[in-house]
Amino acid sequence: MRLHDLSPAARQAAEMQAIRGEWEHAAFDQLLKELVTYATGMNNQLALLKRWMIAAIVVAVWCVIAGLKVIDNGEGAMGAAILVGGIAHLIVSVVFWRRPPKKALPKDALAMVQQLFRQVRQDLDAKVTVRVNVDLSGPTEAKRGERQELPARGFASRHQFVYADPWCQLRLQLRDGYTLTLRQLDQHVEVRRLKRKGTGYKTKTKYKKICRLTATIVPPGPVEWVGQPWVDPTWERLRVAKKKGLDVAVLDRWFVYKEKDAKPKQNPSGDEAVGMLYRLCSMRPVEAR
Amino acid sequence: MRCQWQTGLLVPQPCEGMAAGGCAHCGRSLCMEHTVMGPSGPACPSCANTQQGYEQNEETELEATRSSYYTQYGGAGYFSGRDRKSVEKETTEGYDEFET
Ligand SMILES: [Zn+2]
Ligand SMILES: [Zn+2]
Repeated sequence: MRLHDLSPAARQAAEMQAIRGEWEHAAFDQLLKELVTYATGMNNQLALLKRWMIAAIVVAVWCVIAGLKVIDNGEGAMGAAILVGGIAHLIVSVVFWRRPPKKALPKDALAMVQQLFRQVRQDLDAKVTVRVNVDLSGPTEAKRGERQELPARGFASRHQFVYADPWCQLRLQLRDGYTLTLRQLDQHVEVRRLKRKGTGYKTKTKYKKICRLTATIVPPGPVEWVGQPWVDPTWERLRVAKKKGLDVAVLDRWFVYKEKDAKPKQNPSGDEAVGMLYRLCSMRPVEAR
Repeated sequence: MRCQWQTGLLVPQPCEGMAAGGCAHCGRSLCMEHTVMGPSGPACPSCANTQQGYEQNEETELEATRSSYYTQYGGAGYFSGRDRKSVEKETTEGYDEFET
């Protein structure tokens, strides 16, 4: 699916790398469906391009070796042709590689929102729109924090950058009057270690993504929370906070992804998010359920 | 006769559409929308998940996730009190305003 195959709303979201505003349920469902398809297609395309690039390098190296051998055998013209052909192939590949689809959308993050919405749609008040503020641009330079020095621990130096990306905010109105919200904050941690090597330095970078999902349930009026949901003591925290005189139950859950070569792209699944909302809903007084 | 299928996950409620038939396995009456056809007669989305040879649709998928939440988090929304200590009243700090 290409950008111009998308509906105007999906196309605008893909170009802006953001979904904002109030959405009718059917329109939001359709938008997510299109964006997930588009993002998946684009990711596959990128993977294909990468494989082609590797093949191009192999072919180019082979051509250089073969070309030199042929020249050695006295067939200068043919050898030069093979040599030039291989290098040309490499250049064309590099040019293609350097202009990938410019705005790759985060497939896993979009899939979470889609999966979540599909599972709770029947529970929503059909007359109330979904309030959305989703930023799909990922950990851009603008989101990078200050450089933080870390204890050297045997290296020449260690420092890190943290990219803070509060990319997701959703507000859903249940048909029984309770309101659910879901937020996600991603923190991309980039740790750089400098090692002395000969006269210069060698840098090694490690990447970690810490996701914090926060779900809240806001009652329609004063309420006594009764249910006692199961909470994972390591990765979750449940608390009750006051907001505009109401007791709001807040459940946080943390997820950690690590990667060696690039910022991790994984995201918690929609099931995880629904599980959190489900447990918050179990705290409602019996008559509300 | 009304459809006896329950829709929704967080706010379950009966469908109450006009029943057009019943589930050949559990006997509840069903509207057209909540009837899944298969080799051993019409079935509700729940029985369509457990019986062989039924095609999956959006309603059966929803039902599958719904039952996985019930199993994972223990019972129809009620939970044991063993983690009571992890609930703490916090009224002063922590909750930032969320106005999407
Ligand atoms: Zn049945
Ligand atoms: Zn029905």
